[in-house]
Amino acid sequence: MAKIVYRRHDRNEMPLMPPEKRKKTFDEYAFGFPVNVAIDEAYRCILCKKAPCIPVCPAELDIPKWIEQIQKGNMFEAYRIIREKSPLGAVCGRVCPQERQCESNCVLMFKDNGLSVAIGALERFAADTVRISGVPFEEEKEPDTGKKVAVLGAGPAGLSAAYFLAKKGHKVVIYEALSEPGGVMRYGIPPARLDRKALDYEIELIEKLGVEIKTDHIVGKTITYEDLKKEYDAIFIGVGSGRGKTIGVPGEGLIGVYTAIEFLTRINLFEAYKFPEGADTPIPRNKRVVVVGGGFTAVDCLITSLRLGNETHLVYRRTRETSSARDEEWDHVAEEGAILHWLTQPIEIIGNEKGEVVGIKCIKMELVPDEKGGRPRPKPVPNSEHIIECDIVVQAVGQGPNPLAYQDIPGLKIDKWQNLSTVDNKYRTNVEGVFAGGDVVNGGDTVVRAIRHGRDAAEAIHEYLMTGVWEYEGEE
Amino acid sequence: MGFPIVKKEFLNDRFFTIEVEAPHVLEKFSPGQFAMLLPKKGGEVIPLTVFKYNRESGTVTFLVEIRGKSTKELSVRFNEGDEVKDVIGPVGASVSLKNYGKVLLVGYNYGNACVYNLGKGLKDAENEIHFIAGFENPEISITADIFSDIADDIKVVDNGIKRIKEEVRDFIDDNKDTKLIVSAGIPEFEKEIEEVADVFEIDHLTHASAIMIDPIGLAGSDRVFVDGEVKYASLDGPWFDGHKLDYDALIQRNNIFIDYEKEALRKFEEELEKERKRAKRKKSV
Ligand SMILES: Cc1cc2nc3c(=O)[nH]c(=O)nc-3n(C[C@H](O)[C@H](O)[C@H](O)COP(=O)(O)OP(=O)(O)OC[C@H]3O[C@@H](n4cnc5c(N)ncnc54)[C@H](O)[C@@H]3O)c2cc1C
Ligand SMILES: Cc1cc2nc3c(=O)[nH]c(=O)nc-3n(C[C@H](O)[C@H](O)[C@H](O)COP(=O)(O)OP(=O)(O)OC[C@H]3O[C@@H](n4cnc5c(N)ncnc54)[C@H](O)[C@@H]3O)c2cc1C
Ligand code: SF4
Repeated sequence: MAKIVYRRHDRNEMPLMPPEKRKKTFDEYAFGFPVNVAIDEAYRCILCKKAPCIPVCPAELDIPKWIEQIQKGNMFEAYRIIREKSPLGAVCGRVCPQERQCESNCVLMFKDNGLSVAIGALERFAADTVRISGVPFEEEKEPDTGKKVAVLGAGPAGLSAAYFLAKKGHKVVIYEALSEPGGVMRYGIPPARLDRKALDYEIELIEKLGVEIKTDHIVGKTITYEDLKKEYDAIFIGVGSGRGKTIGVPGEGLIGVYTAIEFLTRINLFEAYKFPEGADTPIPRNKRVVVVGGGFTAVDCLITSLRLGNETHLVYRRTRETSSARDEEWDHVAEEGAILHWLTQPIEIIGNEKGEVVGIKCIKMELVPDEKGGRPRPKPVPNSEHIIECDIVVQAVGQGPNPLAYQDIPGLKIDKWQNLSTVDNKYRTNVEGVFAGGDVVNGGDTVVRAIRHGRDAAEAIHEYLMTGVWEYEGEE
Repeated sequence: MGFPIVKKEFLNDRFFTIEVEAPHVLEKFSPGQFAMLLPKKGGEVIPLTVFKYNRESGTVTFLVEIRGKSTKELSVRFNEGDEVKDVIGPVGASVSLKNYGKVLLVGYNYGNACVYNLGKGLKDAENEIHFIAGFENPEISITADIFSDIADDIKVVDNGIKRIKEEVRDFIDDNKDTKLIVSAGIPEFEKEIEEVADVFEIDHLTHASAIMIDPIGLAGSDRVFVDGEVKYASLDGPWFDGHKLDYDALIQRNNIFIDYEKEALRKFEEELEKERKRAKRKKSV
């Protein structure tokens, strides 16, 4: 057999819609790889035996194994291998911060021209190819065990747990409070970054395994822990930690002040960008908007605001380098016209006599070394107060706990943030039969980490269901 | 999978009842709670009090006031045999109700449905219930029959907030032993009732009709101020201590989208008008 000759060429990048065009549409702005480019990119991978990309992927996908299948043109097989570890490859290929995960450790960065294999783009490619082909994707599951598991919340953690449990032959029912499944992937991340067709497809594949998703069911209201305990052999809590926080400055009650979650939910879940013709939920357009914050959520608010035709500003008290969003994303929103104010801290939202926002008062900051050796701290610059005129302020300063689903579980240990970081290494809570994973455990992380929690918890749940052994190993 | 409409009935041009099959809402329902309707994809969340219900058939009846586009559309586009896309519930905190003695319920327009809901719980706790069913004007007022099963005594007052307030004052004057006033309607109305409750130093439970888009307080659009503290109407409410609710803040927040709401209603009415004309033309052909 002829030996494959590895070509040394530059990394392929996904084509992007030009900024002028993309800021006018909520459609996805990164186009996936065409087949020839994908195969070309796949051939950059040298299929390392001890692949260093695997351990830095939070889901530990078998990366070279599925990239090899793309090299050979076996996209279905590639997708099947991805799904051994994660049922949301199309999503992760799009929204994971790969440059900090799998792509941060690719040998090509050290051996070749310094550019990692485009793992994320390839993952997306495999998943999209299967979906777009229209050929039904079949998955096997083990024979029915007769056991039933309730999963609370249809975000990535819950969906992942449900998928792996269903594959083991358990009957799974997901309870979701909102009208649609997906969690933050549905109501938070804009369609410009995550095509809903891709999300819907992967959720459908999970349902195809027999998982039942009961939307419109609020755990703690529609159904309680006591009911669930009677009906199910185990419970997985994956309700996230998604309550929108406010910045805590005067003026937050004014008309025009939103939490990031309200702003994004109106648009992503209720399609307010189509108001009034195609949707009934309103959202202001063609205004001046200031987004406060510096993470994923802030970027998503900027992307969304720009597409509504707003003059869009960001204020963040630290620098771009110390923000938690991706570099590339700041470039994208800047290209689209966002005005980025680094080292700027809001101190008050200003309103008129009608109670409407007219501006936000800010102060400049400088970074000073932290005495305790931590990351540099922002410190106010004296006499640097200034006002940015605006009509709308969006507070993208993180999310807080949402304990409604578990606050009434008798004896459950809840941590001081009202979350469930009290689980042990098998995602067991201190209450027998109750497991938890995703943001509800770590207070806010990534989609892929939630998927991993769901998968590992599913394994632990399976073990519990089959053996009945329960030994909580957290601190009592 | 949607939720079938088993019955819809117009009471007049402003009010209709709609009965929907949604057994999941009833399993844990208790007085004080409501549901969220999402009629269709692309629709808007409509919070509605569980007005009447039948646990056996699993159906919930809502009493709806047509106010803007969403309630108007529900009234004309959704009929018996159709489905609404989502019914989420029960939403809100259940209110623990005790025996107070003499209680006055006072509602304004859609608020009558809300006080009726709580009134049923108060009736079960063996309170003596007096009901003032208030309406903006005689054209939209509905008969008292629909509320009478929970009230010992019911009076319809159909000429606006000022008159209803006077009626409440007169009632209290004559019934100094009233232990609790329950009010619901737009916050502008509840604020007036609070003035009376305050003067006579009577406990007051009132209903915060805040703008809601999700049932678990994620978005926080429904934040209200109670005794200076932020509360979420969908989680901690909608019923709050009427002496402590900040009515002005609620009024302000309820007007956030007013221009957009007017635009949506205008567009929808134009659409209906066009349809009417088209239908007429067809007939005449
Ligand atoms: C705006 C935004 C953008 C983000 N962008 C990215 C990104 O690009 N990449 C990335 O990796 N991560 C991103 N994240 C983080 C990521 O979305 C989360 O870490 C991840 O979604 C957590 O998954 P989860 O399943 O634990 O919780 P969630 O996604 O929050 O899902 C929890 C689900 O539980 C439901 N629920 C809550 N309470 C109840 C109840 N009582 N009864 C029934 N159901 C209930 C909720 O409605 C929700 O559907 C972003 C987060 C935000 C807010
Ligand atoms: C807990 C609760 C219980 C309610 N129960 C009933 C009931 O039993 N019967 C009834 O007829 N009405 C009830 N309402 C009011 C009803 O929800 C609104 O009238 C309806 O949402 C208006 O929608 P629209 O599009 O027709 O009108 P719009 O023109 O959109 O709005 C008219 C007014 O309704 C309010 N409103 C708009 N959108 C919302 C929203 N998403 N959530 C809350 N308020 C909104 C605003 O104050 C607005 O000015 C209740 C409201 C709440 C919060
Ligand atoms: S480290 Fe890079 S080259 Fe090696 S297997 Fe992973 S993606 Fe391929």
